Parts: sequence; C-alpha cells; structure tokens
Amino acid sequence: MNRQNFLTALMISVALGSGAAAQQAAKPAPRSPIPKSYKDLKYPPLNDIKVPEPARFELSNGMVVYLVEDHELPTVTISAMIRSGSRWEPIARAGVASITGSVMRTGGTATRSGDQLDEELDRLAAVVETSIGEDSGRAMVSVLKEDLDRGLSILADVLQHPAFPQDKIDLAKIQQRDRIARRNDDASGIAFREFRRLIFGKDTPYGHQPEYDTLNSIAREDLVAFHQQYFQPENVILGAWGDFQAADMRARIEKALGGWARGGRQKPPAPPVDPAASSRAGLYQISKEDVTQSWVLMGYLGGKRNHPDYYALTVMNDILGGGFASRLFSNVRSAQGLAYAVGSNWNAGWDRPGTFTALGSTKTETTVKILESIRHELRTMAEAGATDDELARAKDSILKGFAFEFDSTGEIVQRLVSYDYYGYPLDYLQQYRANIEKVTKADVARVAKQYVKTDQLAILVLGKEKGFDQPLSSLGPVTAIDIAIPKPKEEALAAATPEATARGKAILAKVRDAMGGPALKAIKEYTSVATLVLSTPQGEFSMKQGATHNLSGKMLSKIQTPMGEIVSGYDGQAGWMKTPQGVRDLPASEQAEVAGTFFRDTVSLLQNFESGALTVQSLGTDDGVAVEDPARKLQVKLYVDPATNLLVKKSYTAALMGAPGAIDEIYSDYREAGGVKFPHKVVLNREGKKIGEQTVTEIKINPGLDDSAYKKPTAP
Amino acid sequence: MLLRTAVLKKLTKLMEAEMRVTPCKLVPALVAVFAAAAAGAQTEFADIQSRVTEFTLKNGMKFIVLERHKAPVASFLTYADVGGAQETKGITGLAHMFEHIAFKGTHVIGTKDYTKEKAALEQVEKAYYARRDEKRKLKPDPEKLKKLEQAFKDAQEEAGKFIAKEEFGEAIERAGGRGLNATTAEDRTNYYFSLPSNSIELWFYLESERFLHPVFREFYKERDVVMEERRLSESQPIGKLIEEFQAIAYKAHPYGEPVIGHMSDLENLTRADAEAFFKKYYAPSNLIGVVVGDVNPKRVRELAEIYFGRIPSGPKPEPLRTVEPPQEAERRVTLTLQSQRVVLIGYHKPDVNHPDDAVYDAIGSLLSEGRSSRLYRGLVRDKKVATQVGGFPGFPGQKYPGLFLFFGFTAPGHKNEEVEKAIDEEVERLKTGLAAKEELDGVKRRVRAGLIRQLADNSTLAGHLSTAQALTGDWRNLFKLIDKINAVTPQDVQRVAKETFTRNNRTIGMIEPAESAQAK
Repeated sequence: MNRQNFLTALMISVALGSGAAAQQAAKPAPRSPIPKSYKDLKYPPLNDIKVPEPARFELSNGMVVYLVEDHELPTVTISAMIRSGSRWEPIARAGVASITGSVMRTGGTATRSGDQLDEELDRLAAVVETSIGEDSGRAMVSVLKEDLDRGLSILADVLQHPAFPQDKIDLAKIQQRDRIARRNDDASGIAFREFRRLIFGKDTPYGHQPEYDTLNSIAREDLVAFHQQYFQPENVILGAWGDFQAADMRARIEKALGGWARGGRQKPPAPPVDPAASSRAGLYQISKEDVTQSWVLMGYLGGKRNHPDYYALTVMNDILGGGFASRLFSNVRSAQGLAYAVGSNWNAGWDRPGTFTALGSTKTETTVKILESIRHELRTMAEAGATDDELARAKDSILKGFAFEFDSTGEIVQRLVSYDYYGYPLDYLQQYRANIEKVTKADVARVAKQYVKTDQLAILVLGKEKGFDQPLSSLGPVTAIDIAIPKPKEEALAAATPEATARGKAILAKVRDAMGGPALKAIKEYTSVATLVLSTPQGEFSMKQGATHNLSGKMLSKIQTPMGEIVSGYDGQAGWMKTPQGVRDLPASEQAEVAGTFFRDTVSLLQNFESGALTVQSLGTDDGVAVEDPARKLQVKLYVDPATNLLVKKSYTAALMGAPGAIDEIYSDYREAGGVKFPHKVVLNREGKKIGEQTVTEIKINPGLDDSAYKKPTAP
Repeated sequence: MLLRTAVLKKLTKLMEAEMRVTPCKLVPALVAVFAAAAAGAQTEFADIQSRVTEFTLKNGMKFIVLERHKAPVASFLTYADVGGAQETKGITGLAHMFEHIAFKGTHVIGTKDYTKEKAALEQVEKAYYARRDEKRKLKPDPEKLKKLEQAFKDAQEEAGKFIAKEEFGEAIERAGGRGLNATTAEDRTNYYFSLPSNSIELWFYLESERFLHPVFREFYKERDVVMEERRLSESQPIGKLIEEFQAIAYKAHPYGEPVIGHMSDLENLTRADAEAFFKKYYAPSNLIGVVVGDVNPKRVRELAEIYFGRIPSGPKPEPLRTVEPPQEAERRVTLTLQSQRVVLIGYHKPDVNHPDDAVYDAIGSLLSEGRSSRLYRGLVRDKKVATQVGGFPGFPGQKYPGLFLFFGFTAPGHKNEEVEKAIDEEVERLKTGLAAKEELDGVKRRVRAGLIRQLADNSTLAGHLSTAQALTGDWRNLFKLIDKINAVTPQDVQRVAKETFTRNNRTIGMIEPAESAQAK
C-alpha cells in the first residue's frame, strides 16, 4: 500500500471512532486511453461498506433504544417513533392525532411554556419537534453536542408532560383549517390525495381526513386523552446517533427517560384495510376548470413489504416505471413527448397493504391518449414480462447502489428503528438485498401477470373535461368525485365583545316590541294551523299541519299526510310518534334535534335572550344577531328588517328531512293574532335550495292544552 | 443553510426547473448560502477544508475535490455558469431546454448508428423548417400543411429508429448510480448524480462526453416535455403568482423572466437555437466540476485530464450587460384564482458579493427562522393573520442584484391587506429599533449549526462548494463568511433595513380567491 492509501485507511478508521482494520483503498487503474464504449470500462472492487453495529438496550420501563456513535460532526440527533397515529383516531375527531402531535411541542410542558421553549431552542440552534402522522408518532431532537443534556431534558419533558394550553390548541386549529381551505388549490395534490381515498375508502382509518366539523368537535380533553392513550414508554423506540460515547449516552438516556412510568395500556394493532378496497375498478373523474394539464392515476390496492412477491414486484416496477430507462419514462415521455411527470410505484406498506399506482400528467388535449398509453404499457408488461437486459439493469441498479444505504448514519439508525417498530427483523435490509438478487426473469413475468391486472384498474382523471381529446365516458361508465370542501355545520363564532352583545340585545328588544312586546311575553303556549308543501326529489307533497308549542318545553304536532296522520309529541322529557302503524318512541337522532327546535323557537328566544344562559351578539351589521346556548352547543342567527323590526330570516344547522345542513327559514306576510305578530308564510331552504313552504291559516295564543295531551299515548 | 420550512421548499421548487420530478437536494437560488457563524469558525472547519483539493485544466475547467471516506460512494456535480438570466426575449426557457437535451446522449451514447442517425436528424430539421415556413405564411395552404405535418412526424419516427433509448440514464442506473437529475435556475445550471466509489471513471466518461459532443436527438419531443413542465407550474396558483411577481419586480434585467420560459418562446425553440446556446455558454472555462466522497484526489485529477481535457477551450461568454435600474415606485399585482390567499413582498437588494450580504442573511434569520422569530410571533402567534410567514434574501438569484422576499399564507377569515400591514410593521421595527444582542447571537449560532449539519451529505456539499466558487471566486468563502456573520452588529441591521425596506423599492403580489372559492 502506498502512503496515500495508508492515510486514507487511517482516516476511515478514525472517522469510525474505533480501531477498525485499515481498508484497502481503491488501487489506481493503469493509465489507459479512453475506451470506445463506457461498457468497456473496468472498475476495481468496491471498498468495504462499513455497517455500524448499533448498541441496543431496553429501559426498565420498556422503551427500546438504539445508539450509533458518529464522530464526524459535533452534533447529536435523537429520533423516536411512538406507536400512535391518525389511523387510530376516531373519524368524527379527524385531526386530533395531528393536533396532539404539534401542540405537544408548541404548547410546552408543565414547567416550560411553549414560548419559552421556542426561545431557548432558537437561541441554542437546537431543534425539538414532535408530530403524529398516519401510522406513527415522531419526536426528534437535534443539538450541537454541548447542548445534549438540555436537548434530552426537553425531549423527556415534552413526551411526558405536555401542557396542551388552549391558545396553542386554537393556533393549531387555525393552521389545520388553513390546510383544509388550501387542499384543493393544487391539481397534483388533489389527484394524489383523492386516488388514495378512492382506494382505501373515505371514512376509513387510511382514507379519512380532517374537516371543519371534526376540528370544531376537538376539545382539550381529547388531546389529553389521545396523548395519555398512546404516549407510554413501552410504545417508544428511540434512535440516537452522533458525537457521543455509547456508554455515556446510555447513562444520560436512562437518567432523562428511565423515570417515565410504564403505562400498561395495550399496544394497538394496525387497523385492517377495508375489504372493499380490493374492488375499486372503474373510471373516476374530478373536474377542475382552471388547469391546462390533466392528471391520470391508475392502480389498485397492493401488498406488504414482507410479502414473498415484494422483491420481484420491486424489480418489475422499476422496469415498468421506475427510472429513466423504464417503459413509462422512455415510451410515454421521451418517445411521445406526452408528459413531464410519468411513472409507477409499487408502494408496499409495512403492516398493511399499500397501493400500486401508474400515473402521468399531460396537456388537456391528450388526456385520454396518455391514459391509453399508460394502460398499454401495463398490458404489455402483464402479457410479456421483461427482457433479460431490463432485468439485469433493474437488479444492478438496486444491488450495485447498495453502498448508498450506508452513507448516512442517521438513515441507518432510523431504518433500524422502523424495522423494530413494524416488527421486521433487524437484518431486513440484508434479506431484501439477497431476495432481489434471487429475482429471475420468470419471477418478473409471473408477478406481472398475477398483479398487473389492467381490467381491475381504478382510473382517476382530473382535469378540464371540456377540452379532453375524447369524453371519458367513451371509455366506460364514469363516477364523478366531488371534492367540494364541506362547510362547517356551525361557524365557530368569535367571542362576543360587550359592545356586540349590547347591540345584539338592543336589536332583539326592538323585534320583541315590534312583534307584540308584553303580549309576546305573556305567551305560554300557542297553536298554529298551516298547510305545508314539501319539495322532494320525488315531487311536491302537500299536507295539513296543526302544531302546539308550549314554552315550558312541550310540543304536539299533527300532520295529515297522504299516508295517514302522523302525530308527534314531546312531554318535556321524552318524545314519541304515532303513525297508522302504531306508537313508538322518537328515534334517537330526532330526539337530539328536539333541544334545538325548542331553543330556536322565536317566541322562546325573544322571551329569554336577556337570561344569563344565552349569549347574544350582533353580527357586525344592524340586522343580524347570533344567539348561542353555550351549555348545549346550540346556535341560531336571526336577521331583521330594519324598517319593520320584524324577523325576516332565521339560519341554523339541523337535520331536516334527512342529512344535516344549513337551514334558512324566510318569513313574510306578518299578521296579528292575539296582539302578537306572526309570519304567515315561511319558506324553508337547506343549503340554499328550497325544500318546503308553510302557509299559516290560523294562530291561537294560550289555547290551554292539558298536560296529558303531550304525553305518549298508550297503545290503542 | 438557514432552516427552511416546507413552504419555502415548495416555493423553491417552483422557482427552479428540473429534469426529473424529484425533490432537488441542492441549495436553490432562494437560499443564502453564505451565512455561518461563531467564533473559532476557522478551527472548527479546518479539518474539512484540509480535505479539499482544487486544480484547473488547460482548457479552463476548474475542479474541486473533497475527500470524505465515510462510505464507498461519491457525488458529482457539474456547475455551468449559465442560467435563465442569460436568456433574452424570444429564447426564454432555452437554458433549461438545453439541460433536458444534455440527457439525450452523444455521438457514442444513446445511438445505434450515429452516421445514419445524423443524416436522419438533418431530415428532421429540414421537415421542421418546411412546416414552419408554411405555417408562417399569411395564408398557409391546409393541404400542404397537413402533408408537411405528416412528413415531420415521419422524419422524427425515422430518426427515432437509431436511438438507444435513455442510454445515458441507463448507464448510470446499471452502475448503481443514484440521484441522477439536473436543475436550472436563474444563475446556473447543475448536473449531478452519485456513484459507488469504485466506478467514478463512469462519471468522467459520461459527463465529459455530454459537454464534448452532445447530440440534440428527440429535440422536438423534448420540447413538448418542457411545455408539460411549464403547464405543471401553471397548475399551481403559487407558481402563477411568482411568475407575475417576478415580471413586475424587474423591468429590464432577465431576473424578471421565468426560468421555464414563456409558452410561445418554448413553442418556437429550434435545435439550432439550442446548439448556439451550448456553444456560447458551455465552454470548459464556464464549467466547474465537483467531486465529493470516497475518492483519491490524484486519481481524480488523472481522470479529469484524460476525459475533460479533451474538451477544446472556448471564449468566455460576454457578461450580462443589463443592470436593473433603481425602482422608482411601488408595484403591485393581484391575481384572482381558484386558490386561497397568498402574499409576496419583495425589495431589491445588492448581489452576493456586496459587503452587506451577510447582514441580509442575518435579517432573514432574525425575521423568520424558528418559532421565536419576529414574523412568526407577530403574524402567526399574536395577530393570527397568517398561518405561515417568512422573509429571506436571494430571490430569484444571487449572482445579480436580487430581492429580499417576504411571503405569507393568509389565515382563513383574514385579508391579504392585514398580512401586508403586519409585515410592514415588523419591517418598521427593524428600521426604528436595534436588534437585541441575544437575537443576533441566536442568528450566529443557528448559522454555524446549520453549516455543520450540511456537512453530512456529499451532494449537498458539492452544491455549496460549487456555488461559493462560482459566485464569489473562492470555495473557501463558504467557511470564511462565518466570520462575516459574526461581525454583523445591530447597527448594521438597522442601517441595511433603512436602506432597503422603502416604499418605492417594494413590489407586492397577491392571490385573491375567485368567487367560487370565496365561500371558504
């Protein structure tokens, strides 16, 4: 060995911080003229790949730790995975996992406020971050080595004692709302997201997403509970690398995290994928008008990384749509100039099936052309497999580049943590390598035939249909996907200022006076007789209704329908219904709506708005007032005609004739009855569309119904 | 090396044009490279600097080699000192177009028979011009045009028969190479990939070939690909905003033109245009080769002489003459799109070699690095008018006078004007008060830590070294500037803020949601 190589070898062993045997550095090849082809180049053997041996130990509380020393730079990084994730969150609270993950950091702890933490970390140039993704939670620390103890101490604190203060929760919600608002701005973002949701299913652990309503439903106790449930030391696998001595680092970790008491809660198993995810074949379309380019994604549910066929599938996918030389790249992009973005992914999951996707994006006018072009490549692959040459290239690409798996200590450690987390053997990478080596041309042909099923593709097209080269429907029946962001059921109202409250109350006082003043205050009960015309998809239905409303919280309603008489009542405690089929209790879903109905009753509101139980605020204009019952989470908005001070509209969210939605009641034709003005025409709208109209024929004030009238009748 | 948020990465991606659709690992034009701090910087970075060697070939091509023997791999980068800024009206997008062509191979790579292919490519050119000439007539003959279209298609198909598909990329993949890609920015074009360290000769072979004798095969198809890349950028509201914003921030200098080029320019680029561009800007004296990893510098030099030494020297291109005149009045543009609100505010600043460059980096870090930064606290935490906000120098480039750019994602329920006003308030604070010592200490420490963290990756290092060399004339400035940052005082910050953040020097771009998006 010449001197240069000896020094090289020495540097290698020094860099590793151990007395590793001196390496054989690359011997310089003899000077040669340039060969005719690069294929004629001769390479010396590769220098040894250094595979660091991690120190692995378990704390007494069950936390698993991996350590690898790396003295190249004066830094230390700690990265932990915690068994948690949005795939375990209740779908009605979608977003709670993500918010818990971010507020754990931003909200600080019992002893350090979030703002104090921010300052300290920024000043130290240290980073501590926590997050919760779909199938794992993450906590990481990155410090200059002199700040190791501070970093560990903060990490331990944040993991165990997050404070979850309301102001940081509110901030996290603002950011989540912003993300929702922006999620349809980018065409590619929409396409990838919706394809995933299409395969896994919208309301499933793997396909759900936060909505305004789910965010509104998340309260501090939900975060506390989520953290409590999942953040226990036996759920944590921690990896650390950098400029430390392993034994010393171990002691520091034991000190900082050893005292965290075991939680003893069950580790959650990975939620299964909905079986329906395997049968999504078909054509799907998302309309977007403001683009000059379409996205085409096609595929289906795939498999797992430890499936015996995973290796052949990886090689097959590389040939099909992996690199520059792949079929999709060279045929769809280079040869036809159809796309900039094109390719395929066999995206296997760790502990649940993943997805196979082939995709491309092209100008609007060649949308169907690229769809058929990609599908053609899939078909060709499925029917004829790959050539010897393609196989060799794909395998070489993976195997010859193996050294890259070891060029970053951080990646090495995080990989080991992942393997442990998902229950894979620690030498999985080596097994993977060996299995790739074994893949034959026949294997590729077999998996191509078995797994690339062009008749079972879910095909999603996003773009401006008007400009397509062919209508999508010419290829088969198409299902439209609606990506409209659902409006929140209830707009979270800002906290009422004293001025807004005073103004709101003043407006309502005027309405009360206009509608009857003392006469209105004296109402204990009233009956209205009306004709109700309902607009349904099946047509318009007209029926007569007589309803009595008792301000103490009782109600009785009789409707003559084409199917017979329906009587419903509420006796102050429970509701019931009597139909030609018999008597039954009011279904739970309707029971829940009863409180809202009573709350929103105009007479009730005008009698009670000054009570302490209700919050009133003007909506910033002279004709709108919001009234809230914070205890029961009820809200209604009233709109007034300033000329008459009579109510013209009432808006709220409720389930009326089916799904919940934004309801408007529009009032007109006020007439007096018993000294009180009532609207004799009410138009009902849901989400802006008319669903019904009520024409009142008679109003009786204080008819004096007996209590028993409201009680559930005994069976005849 | 300043910490970047995911949003900045997104803005960055939109600013550059890439070959493959994969994230760019290198520091883009947006990021100021030269921020680094802390006393003792010279000793701290002495080791890594001692592992750097450099040499220049007779033909003027410079090489920088950094030894790093952690793993038997090496990263390579060719920095071409040409970018969007070298384009004139009519040929916007050409630098990036050439970058794409550089993957198509040479007379020995990517062809089955170059003699025959060359003749076939000439036929393609003839057919192209014949079709173009007919199209340009005041009254083109539709029958004739149809025939010429077909003839053009046929000629391309004929020439295509001689292609060994994607041989350049394939050769690298077969050798176990990783990260093959290239990016074009306003200031420069980078070509890069990594190889197992026993195969470094392959880089010398392929890379020297591609700048010795590139063949512009599949030119017109690749032009279509580039147009798709443009459409991708157009499909993103922020991409549209950036393009409009750049256009009004610059009235004379090419920094006002998008790197991806205007669609009508792209539609008319010819092979001859690309060849002329290559001849003008790819002389070896305009290139820097960087090798970082498990290599022997002596061997690297040998190979460089053998392979790159073949490239004949050429004249250095004429430097850009145009200097953007001082902005005389505030400029604004508002786009109404199917998108949520975004705000961009830019102020002109000097180029990277100005003595105050480190002060701009310090201002950027002070304003927007970390959750305790002024913009985050003012706009996100306290006023809650933005969900993300930042400010940094180096947009759209640093080689020529660029902009200090602020961006804000307006929070739901709030107006763009509120974000504009709040940013303005922070800017005023910088001008009227003095930054606290602890704030600047934090900046300096973060810059130092940032640089340290970036030393752990071969390709990142290759990018930083080449940028420092090309823009400042000495790669050592990557480390030397730590001292420059250390020297920044609160008075410097105030002075530079007063000079820069003036109303007339300001350009503002906004996205307002279109009617249908209003409901949100």
